[in-house]
Amino acid sequence: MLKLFIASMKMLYRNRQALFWATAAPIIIAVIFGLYDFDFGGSSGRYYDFLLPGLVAMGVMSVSIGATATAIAGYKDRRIFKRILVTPLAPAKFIGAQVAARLVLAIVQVGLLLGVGMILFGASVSGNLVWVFVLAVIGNAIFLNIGFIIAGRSSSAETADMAATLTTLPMVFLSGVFFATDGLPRVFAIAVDYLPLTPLINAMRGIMLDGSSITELGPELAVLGGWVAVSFLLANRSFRFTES
Amino acid sequence: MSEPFVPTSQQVDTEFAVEVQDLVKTFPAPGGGTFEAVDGISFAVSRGEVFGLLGPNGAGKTTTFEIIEGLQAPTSGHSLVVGLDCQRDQKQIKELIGVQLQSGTYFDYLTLEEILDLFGSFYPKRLQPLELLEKVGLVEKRMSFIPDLSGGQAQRFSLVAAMVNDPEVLFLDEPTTGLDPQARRGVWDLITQLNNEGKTIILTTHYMEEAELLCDRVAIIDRGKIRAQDTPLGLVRQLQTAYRIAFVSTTPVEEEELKRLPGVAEVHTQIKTQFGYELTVHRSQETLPAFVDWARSRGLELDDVRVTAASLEDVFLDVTGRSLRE
Repeated sequence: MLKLFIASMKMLYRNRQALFWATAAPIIIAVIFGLYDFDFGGSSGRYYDFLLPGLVAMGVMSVSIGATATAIAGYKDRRIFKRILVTPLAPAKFIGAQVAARLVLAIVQVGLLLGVGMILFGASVSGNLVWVFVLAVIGNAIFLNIGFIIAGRSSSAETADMAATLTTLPMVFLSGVFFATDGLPRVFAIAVDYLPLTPLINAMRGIMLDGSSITELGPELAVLGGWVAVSFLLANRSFRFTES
Repeated sequence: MSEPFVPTSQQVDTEFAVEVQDLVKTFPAPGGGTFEAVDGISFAVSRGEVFGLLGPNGAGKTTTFEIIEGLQAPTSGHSLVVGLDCQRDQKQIKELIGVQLQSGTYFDYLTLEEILDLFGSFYPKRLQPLELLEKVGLVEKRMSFIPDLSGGQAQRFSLVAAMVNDPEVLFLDEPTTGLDPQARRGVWDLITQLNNEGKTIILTTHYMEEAELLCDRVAIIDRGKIRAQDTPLGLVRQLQTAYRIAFVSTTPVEEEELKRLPGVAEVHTQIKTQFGYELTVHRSQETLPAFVDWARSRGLELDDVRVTAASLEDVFLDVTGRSLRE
């Protein structure tokens, strides 16, 4: 099992290009906004403090979907699942190792973003960072499932790549990574509240900006919990290990 | 491993590596009805044999393989590997077989050594990666990745990757499709070597020469059914006209005279050669002496006399009524 996990880690970090595109965007944004320290004259406090939780949530999403959809669709393409099925290895163990490797990557990503934001650019974070990582794990679960759904539905790695971009990019702009969603038209704002990234960002802000404890984030956790369940069911339906 | 393993279906020390009986697999056909991908196939492979399933694309070869490997359930019929039932005893069977998938590849971001090490870790019994790479002359490539290999190297690797568990039975699905002639020869040598080491090998192919060269026995499969099954030579001998005598004469010859020779079925002229002829005959030993006498009595000077056996290609044409590459 350990061997399988280590191998899964190697497959992940040796794919340098995919790794770069999955991890780099939020870090680059964190550095640029840190260097310029924009002030949009918003309500209260420094804009950078407001932005960082959004970037952390975005990082969890892009790593989880980006590193999953294309790679898993590629395995399907190359009959790797079929090859696994003719060995005594239980398919769940293979998937488990792939998931575990991506969880590690997501946690490293969150650590990097917090490091860049807090240490390099002095973002002030009031809440307990442990809750940030707990939320990262929950977000990781949802977005991994979405990655598996995309991989299962895509006919090739290229299609999966495009579908992953089309899934993540609108959420980055709609779910309030950069600006609060208050300004959106009402009907639209309600719909956006139910995208998985929105409650994750709001919960991250609740902890990092307002110093809330995770127990005070009931509504956000409820939506996230719903997404964990629904995305898992859909992933189970869309992604079949047995089809080549 | 708390419970002792009790063979349930038959004795595990059967003489057969694989037995397949009345295997049927139907799929829903597009536009309603059903389509029989495998339509009542039976064969048995002895231990230590190289057995070939020969047929065109879509004949049912891969489906048959996947049923034996436990990847698909048959609609009816059953199959055994070393006496174990392919449906019920899947787990034990997986430990005993090695499978090379048709145009299957491995992970791009693991080295050859790491891939073999990883796949070996799935089995209770395993061979060392370097020992395996040694077998296929890829030791110096052990730190390489799959995309850095040539087609022949990649194919040799995928063959040896099917052997990490030192399997009793090796399934090779079109092991040389898409290879250049030299790489193909390399894979043939490897298969022969593995068989000499005692491995039972079952392969599919649509190359006749491959089947003739490698297989102890061959089943010709077409549209889900086995049409003929024997040794390559045995199949060829079943043909009415199993041999050809070709020759070039310095002067024209009466075709009618050739037809009167004993055992001659047909006479053809060779298109590209002036005064070149080809006789299809039932048995060469019957025709050849009479043919030589006839040429001497005519005072003919013959050039380039060749006797060739018919090939599996001819057998395929004979039993299915169509060419393999159609």
